[in-house]
Amino acid sequence: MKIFIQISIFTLIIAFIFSSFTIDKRTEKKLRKDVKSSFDIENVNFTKIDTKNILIGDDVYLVKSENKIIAYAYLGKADSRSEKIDYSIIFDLDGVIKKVTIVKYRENYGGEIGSKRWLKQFIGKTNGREMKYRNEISAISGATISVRSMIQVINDASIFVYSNKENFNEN
Amino acid sequence: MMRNLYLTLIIAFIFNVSNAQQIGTNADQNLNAAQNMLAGNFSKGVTIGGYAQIDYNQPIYDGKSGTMDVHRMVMLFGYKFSDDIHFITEIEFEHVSEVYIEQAFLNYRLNDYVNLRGGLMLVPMGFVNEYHEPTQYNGVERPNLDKYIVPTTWREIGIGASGNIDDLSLSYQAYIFNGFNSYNNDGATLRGSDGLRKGRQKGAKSLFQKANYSAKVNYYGFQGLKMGLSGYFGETNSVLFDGLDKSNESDLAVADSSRVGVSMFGFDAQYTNRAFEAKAQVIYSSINNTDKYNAMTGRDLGSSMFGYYAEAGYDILSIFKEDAEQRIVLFGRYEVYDTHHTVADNTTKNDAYDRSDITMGVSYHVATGAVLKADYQLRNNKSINEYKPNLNFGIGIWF
Repeated sequence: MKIFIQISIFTLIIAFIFSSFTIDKRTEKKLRKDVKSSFDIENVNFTKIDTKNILIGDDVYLVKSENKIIAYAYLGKADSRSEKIDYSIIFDLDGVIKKVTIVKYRENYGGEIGSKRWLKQFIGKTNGREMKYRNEISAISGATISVRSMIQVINDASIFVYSNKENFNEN
Repeated sequence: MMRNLYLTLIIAFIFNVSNAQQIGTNADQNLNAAQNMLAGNFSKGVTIGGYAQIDYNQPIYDGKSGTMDVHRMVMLFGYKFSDDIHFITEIEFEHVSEVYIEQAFLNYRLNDYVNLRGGLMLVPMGFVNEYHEPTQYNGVERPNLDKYIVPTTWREIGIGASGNIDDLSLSYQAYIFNGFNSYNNDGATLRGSDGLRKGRQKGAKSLFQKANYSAKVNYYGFQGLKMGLSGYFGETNSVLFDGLDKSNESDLAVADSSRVGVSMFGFDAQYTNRAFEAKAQVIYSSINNTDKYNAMTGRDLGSSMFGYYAEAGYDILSIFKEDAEQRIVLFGRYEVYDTHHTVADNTTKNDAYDRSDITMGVSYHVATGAVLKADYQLRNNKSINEYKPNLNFGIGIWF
């Protein structure tokens, strides 16, 4: 029986380590590209923030260049009709959105939300303000569910980052 | 006491291992569907959804009676074998008792830009054939252009690719499909009133002789605007070619007369800006060999079909309540669809097939995915030249 417990604990630890500290290469590449386009800085690294005490299911990373924090990267998941959408948001140090990117879209329809033009509408927004569906953020025919879902999660993420940025420390 | 502890540990262990598993490993373990469900793996990969449309149609001329109908009830089931490999199917009950499979295909997401898929799929032509859920269009019934010229719901078995190119705000689809059946064991299927509609094989023991090509490109680079260009090209299948002795010239000539060539082009555009929305669609379809087809079969299939519609709507609820979850869209649509746009020399042009509809009504979206609809529809054709009024009421859901 002991061996079972040991295996269980071991598996848990491994799973925890892998889920905690790695961004997959593809996502990291996209994040680097977004940071470069927003700040024109190339050599950055990403350090995950422990957000457990400040409650959020998604991951937030400090974006550092030469040991100086230059931005926050937010990696989250949203719901489309029946799948998950992986997305990322780059925030500046004031909690203002600099860039939103769809990292992975899985649904057969509604992929239009990946449009650079549509995602640009979020740039400059902060603390969940001015993101109303159909008013400040336009609708897309045939992608209603994904559009509403993205607006909701970006709204929540921007409020979270804006309100908690003072507590974003390395752990 | 000790037993309880062991039991707890075993459960904890099983739970831990099953948690660490990927969804995709189910198939490797020789579990049947029921065991899978009991093991709790099943629900992780399963998607259930559906849509339904319940209509009340009331003609208000010539003392005609109304009809009430559970027009469609469609159940969607999806299963994720892995993050990138999905199966999707829609099982449709039409008018309660007719059962169809509307879609059944395996989708393999190769990368950000390419999905490969195969199975029974929707032909991308215009807007409604693909986006045919009742919450996606105004009016109780689908636009008639998307019934008589684009034979919605048009689906056949095939293979193809689709994807989005975000940097260009472009999406594409390209497929090779099985074609229509223009001549089956009961005789000719195509006719003047609804063109290709009766030739759909819908993936049911479908006759395959001719690969048909279908493609659509959407551009969504302008804020609030989405535009699509669709094309479909090919030839129909005919049972008369089955086992045909091609050296027998008279048999070959008869078989040749039972097949037609189809080219269809579509343009659609949709625009939304706050409470305002507009849609437009144009479809042109050319059918060749109809002179021989009509001569051999006694049918009246047109040589070309043409139709268009333009629609505008406004969400009046937004005037009173800016943040409303609900929407009350008032709309109007003008629609023309002529399945005898041109006819072969040996066919008489039937003006009754040159039709136009004016539809005015309201779509009350009580929630995202649930809509109450009412409209007043005037239907006309060139031979009577008198708009006949109809009232339609409907409930539409999509989840």
